[in-house]
Amino acid sequence: MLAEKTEKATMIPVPLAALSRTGKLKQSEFEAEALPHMDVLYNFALRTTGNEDDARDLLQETYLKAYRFWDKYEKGTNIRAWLFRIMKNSYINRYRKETREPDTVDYADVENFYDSIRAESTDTNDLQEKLFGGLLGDEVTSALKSLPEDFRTVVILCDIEGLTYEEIAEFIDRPIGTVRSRLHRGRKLLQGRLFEYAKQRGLIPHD
Amino acid sequence: MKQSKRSIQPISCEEALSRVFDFIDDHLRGKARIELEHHLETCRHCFDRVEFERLLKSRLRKLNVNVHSQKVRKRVETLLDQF
Repeated sequence: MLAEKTEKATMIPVPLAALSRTGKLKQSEFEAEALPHMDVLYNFALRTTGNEDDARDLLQETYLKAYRFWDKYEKGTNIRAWLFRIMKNSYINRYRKETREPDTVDYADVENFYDSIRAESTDTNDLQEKLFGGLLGDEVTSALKSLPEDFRTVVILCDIEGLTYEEIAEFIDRPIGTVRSRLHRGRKLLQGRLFEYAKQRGLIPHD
Repeated sequence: MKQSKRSIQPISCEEALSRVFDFIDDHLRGKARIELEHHLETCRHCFDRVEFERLLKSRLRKLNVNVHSQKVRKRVETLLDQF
């Protein structure tokens, strides 16, 4: 019904001035609603693609698509989730050819991570200080990069970007239960990697 | 709906730990949250664990600083003008 209307509307010749008025309105609406989320999306693109050039291309593609399909966006719904969805699809189309990392993680090992680090130190506060205070941003970043993509995505969206479980569920197109379990595993994997870095750096004793 | 402390069912450490992530992500509500908070008041081990997870989360949040999206913002704005 609505689509029919829109189609008809576009068929009617519109005076040029009116057209540009609508265009201006669309643009200012788009700028007001969509542009404020650019930092979050760029940050995510950067972490997903791993370099600034690809991240900029992906972000640009996302925003141009969003602008083109702006009339498909339902006002009042979650715009950030909508933009993330467009970005995800763009990302998949662009990088689909690349093979995914095989998932070779032994989860049984990971489950006991916290207990094992506790065993390494008599003082939890001291350990936490070493583990988080001593590690550089680069090490945290590369630990994050080393996670299998499914887990990395949810950890980035939740912990770095601050999206809600609902928004993440929408983004990965899976139920909230999946977001939860991936977060759970992703964080544990990440801790395992950080623990390894901390050992290498001598922040905590070797075995 | 206020619950008096007496009516709170004690939960095991295992149960408490299964709620830790929901808790630090602020997704734990109602009874489940009250039970966990009560458990944390009395269990040092689980309390430490929550602190640890919180710390990791805030460490990650710090990675989200100073993104360089200004350039691309300009680029997109310019492109929109040309549409």
